[in-house]
Amino acid sequence: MVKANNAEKDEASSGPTFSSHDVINHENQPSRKAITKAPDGLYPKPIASSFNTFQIDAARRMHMLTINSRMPPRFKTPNSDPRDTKAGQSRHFHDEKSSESRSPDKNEQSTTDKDVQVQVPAMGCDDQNCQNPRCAHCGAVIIPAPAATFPFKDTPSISINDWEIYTARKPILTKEEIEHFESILGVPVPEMIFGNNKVEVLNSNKNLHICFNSLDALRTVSVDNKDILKVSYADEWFKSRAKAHHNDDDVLMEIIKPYDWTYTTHYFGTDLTVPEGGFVHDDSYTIPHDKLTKHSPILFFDDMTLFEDELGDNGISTLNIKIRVMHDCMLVLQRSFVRVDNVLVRIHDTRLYVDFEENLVVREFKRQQQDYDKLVKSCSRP
Amino acid sequence: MTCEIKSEVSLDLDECLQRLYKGQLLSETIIEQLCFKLKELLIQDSNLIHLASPITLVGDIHGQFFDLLEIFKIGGYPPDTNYLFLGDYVDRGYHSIETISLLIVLKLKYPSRVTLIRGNHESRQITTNYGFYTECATKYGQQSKVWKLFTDLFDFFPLAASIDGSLFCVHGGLSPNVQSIDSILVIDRFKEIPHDGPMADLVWSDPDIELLNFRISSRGAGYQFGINVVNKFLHLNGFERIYRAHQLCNEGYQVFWRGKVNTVWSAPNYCYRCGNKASILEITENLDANPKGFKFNVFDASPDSEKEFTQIENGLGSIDYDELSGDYDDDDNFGWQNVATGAPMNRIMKKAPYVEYFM
Repeated sequence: MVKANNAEKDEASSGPTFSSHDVINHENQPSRKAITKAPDGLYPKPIASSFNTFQIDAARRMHMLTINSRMPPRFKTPNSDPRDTKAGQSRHFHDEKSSESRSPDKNEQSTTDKDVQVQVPAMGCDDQNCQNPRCAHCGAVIIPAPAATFPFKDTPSISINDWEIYTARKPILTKEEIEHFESILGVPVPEMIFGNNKVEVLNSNKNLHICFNSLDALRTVSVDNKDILKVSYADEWFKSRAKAHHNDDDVLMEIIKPYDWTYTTHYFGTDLTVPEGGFVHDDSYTIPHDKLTKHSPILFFDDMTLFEDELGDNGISTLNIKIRVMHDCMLVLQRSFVRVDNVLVRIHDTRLYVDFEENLVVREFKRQQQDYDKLVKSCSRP
Repeated sequence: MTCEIKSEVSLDLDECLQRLYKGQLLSETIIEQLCFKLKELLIQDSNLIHLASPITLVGDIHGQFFDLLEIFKIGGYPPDTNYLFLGDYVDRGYHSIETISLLIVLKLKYPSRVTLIRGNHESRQITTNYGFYTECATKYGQQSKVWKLFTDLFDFFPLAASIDGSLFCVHGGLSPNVQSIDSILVIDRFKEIPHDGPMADLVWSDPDIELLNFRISSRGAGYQFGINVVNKFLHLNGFERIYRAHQLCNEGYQVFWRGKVNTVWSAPNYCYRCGNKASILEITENLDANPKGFKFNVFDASPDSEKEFTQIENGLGSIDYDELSGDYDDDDNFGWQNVATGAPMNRIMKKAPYVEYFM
């Protein structure tokens, strides 16, 4: 329940979403790394200020929606009509999407399960390890395979029509891999770094390939001094240390190679290929909650951490990613959660919604930040 | 202090051990007595404990009780093996209380065989945020004072140890305020770990392979230390190597500067999801006489931890301690909890959905 910042614009905001109609004939494009090329000042800082009633209400509704959507259908309350919340949310979200241009071949893709081509493992999967089976009863991909949980060797995948979805969950990086990462990034990696984890969404017919991984996420971590927070007791600590180490050559009292040690990321996935034109920015569009709340069976579900750091026990920073794939659509939620004790709390959400029926891809961002004290005050009883 | 020792009979260390090895909890009364007894013992210790090889070093455990039992299976049970634990017994894992209780009883039973030093998680402030406080409240109830008993005891833990006079062992690392051992000896350690000063640095600081001297960390508090200060410290105090814990590493151990500084990490599959290995360092001979007389014994998560992890990971259930919150009927049970008898160690109770309709 914190302040959403509506003012920011993202790079992807320059592009459209697309329908199959738009993109189906385009040639392959060279891969494009949106994040590494991002010019300075692309990500305006969220504004920390108090939130108003309207935002509290919107957050509450969003929370309710989440709770309701987790409940089995039979417990669903009449109040949970997602449309109620739309007006409020559109103010919180930054959506890109194309528009009302629905795909003309819509009729070919019926909503009934029979016409949906589900394939496990995914059709493009050439890895012999892709052996995660489907449940005989519900058809969902079983992750992790019960006998092969540890160490994790699962590389599950699924195909729905011409969409392919892959995930991977591996142990934290080895010393050599960490050195490799650090040589690329130039900053220390988080304490727990799951550098081989990924979520990949691919449609070769439509020339779309989006990947979520920790290396690219960490590339967006700021090394700009003005973005760098200090722990709550830093000033006090520094003052007493500076005095103690006066004339002490052994101790370097300035921060060399500063970086955002909270690992706040502005990552929204790596666009390996996107159709020409890219995403269209459209703040008025929201992810269709009615489709996501209707409880069609989940065929594929995964939940993983990309990295986590306890900030030297000054709080926590995690980047988590969840994916669920149904017959008609899929949703990825990537959440960066940062808590710096007695300083602030931040949540950066990226959602990737793919509608298989309408061949629609929506990516949405939400950045929230609040001062620690204000948040605690607003949560505690009067 | 209102600690009432009823009689020596009620504090039967063997029975405590028996229960703890089975994964059962001790009653609050017993814990109170154990903490009192251990304080009596530790208050006589200096800040720096002198030990001798052969000895086995254990790094962070973080409440991974089944992995602690695994350590004993691999390295031998006390008192057959001497152990030096490098701190961070609690927080993060689901069995901090079982872990610290077992270590306390072992220390009381075999004081010269088991040594516990203090890590940065042996502190009131940190345990409030990282799980130990919550675990105490969940397993013993909001009204209980076990968290206070344990954290008061932590104030008595020594800060460092030396083995054969040639190995320096500490939880975190060096401090600009600690040039020589004497500066450790003069610390008043019987207090909460402060934010600042040598006591904080010893349990907090990290080595950095690129550094020469000390550097303040990018967080704005705390130090990283480099090779020059390591050399200076080793030379001034006649040590050969530094052994420390504190930092997660996938391989279970990490060697800096050709073994001048070494990290021992003993929590496999940390937080039940890192997939990392763990190790204990077995020092079999005096390293002065034989520099190769040590071995990092690397191991994976114990089957029990793995099982627990798998079940959490699969969303098949979560740990439920409800059955432990029964009556504390000290008279009838000589201080043992009723519920502790025969409760299964892996309490997988609540069914959760395999998948989640997140939004």
